[in-house]
Amino acid sequence: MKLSPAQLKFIGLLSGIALVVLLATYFYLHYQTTRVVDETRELFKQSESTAGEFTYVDINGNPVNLDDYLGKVIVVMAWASWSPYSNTDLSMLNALSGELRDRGVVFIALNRKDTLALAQRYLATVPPLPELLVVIDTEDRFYQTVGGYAMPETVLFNQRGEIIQHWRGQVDSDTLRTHINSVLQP
Amino acid sequence: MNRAHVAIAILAGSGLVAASLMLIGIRGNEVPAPAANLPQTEQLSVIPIPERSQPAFYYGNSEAEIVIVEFSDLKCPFCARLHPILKTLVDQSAGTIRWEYRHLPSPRNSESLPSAIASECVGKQLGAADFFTYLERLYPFIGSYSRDLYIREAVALGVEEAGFVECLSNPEIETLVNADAAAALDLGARGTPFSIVKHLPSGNSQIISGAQPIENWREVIAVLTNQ
Repeated sequence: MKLSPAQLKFIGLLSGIALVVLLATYFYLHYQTTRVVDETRELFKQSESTAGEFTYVDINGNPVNLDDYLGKVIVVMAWASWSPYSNTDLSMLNALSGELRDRGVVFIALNRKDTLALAQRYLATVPPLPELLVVIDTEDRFYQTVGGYAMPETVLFNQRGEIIQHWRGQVDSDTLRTHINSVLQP
Repeated sequence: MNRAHVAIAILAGSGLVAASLMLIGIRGNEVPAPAANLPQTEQLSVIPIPERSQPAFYYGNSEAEIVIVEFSDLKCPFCARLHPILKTLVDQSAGTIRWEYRHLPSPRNSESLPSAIASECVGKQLGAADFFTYLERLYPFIGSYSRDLYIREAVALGVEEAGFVECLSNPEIETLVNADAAAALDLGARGTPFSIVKHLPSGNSQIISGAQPIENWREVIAVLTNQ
């Protein structure tokens, strides 16, 4: 069967439209499955107060860009020097971080608004935490934003920045590991 | 209506009054949350926090500017209700509130004093964190306290049993608990929970009786700190 030029043109047009639709669908789905939810991006965004104080700083007072870690599985545990649970919970988190080091999970020990000096003094009294990203939240932004009401509060984010689990109060290592594994192997 | 009916009515009424009085008597040491709002600036005063021969167990920041001193009874249901409220208050404060726990055991309840002593013994061995955890472990059994329960829950937390059992009959601990109670009564406590909220920098203080909702505590603290 021989197609007329008009028919060929029509088929070409249809094929072009189909290709555009397929590409658009592909990019839309890709965007939907890889984008980080806006709330989490906003939560992790660094900012600077008028007094020149950064929201998130490391234990030496240097600014930390938490949004660099978006796209990975992230565990954030809110702790404070005054919480009697901090010692055991930080040690537990450090051990779990070491165990899952090669699986792309980021463990953030987020201090709630202690002064730098106080946080440093406290950390000097606990076993070293080489596996953790210890960050001071100078505004208590994270805890307030996630609606914290207990201590500690631990939040597990998936690669898209969605909150998969939120523990209020202490969480044990096995529970945390199980949920992290479920995110890593959906 | 004949005389018999009148007599029956009087007897029934008396019975109701007697039942009400008995109920009040049973719950007499507990102060329910009053409906009225607490924050009233005219009530602000400087209330001294009673000295203690041994530091009280506290939850929160040792350098906090707000201290809540709670006089409590482990057998008091309103104290059990207040416990998570105060914990949340401290947790949400980001280090600005410290909650100190002291004892005000009811003389009318035979397990009030022993449970207070047991909690002190746990704290003495394991420290403040486990002291508060122990309270939380006991409250679910508030209607069935016993020496066996105190020991079982303490051992589950990690106390050394022989030392704990010895501590339960330590007269020094009982004296400590009774001194807390005496201090509370001096401050005007008429029931539990009885708390002092104090803003340390200004000295502004206010007494809160009962298991007030968390909003009332926040309002009191806002008034004390002039926020």
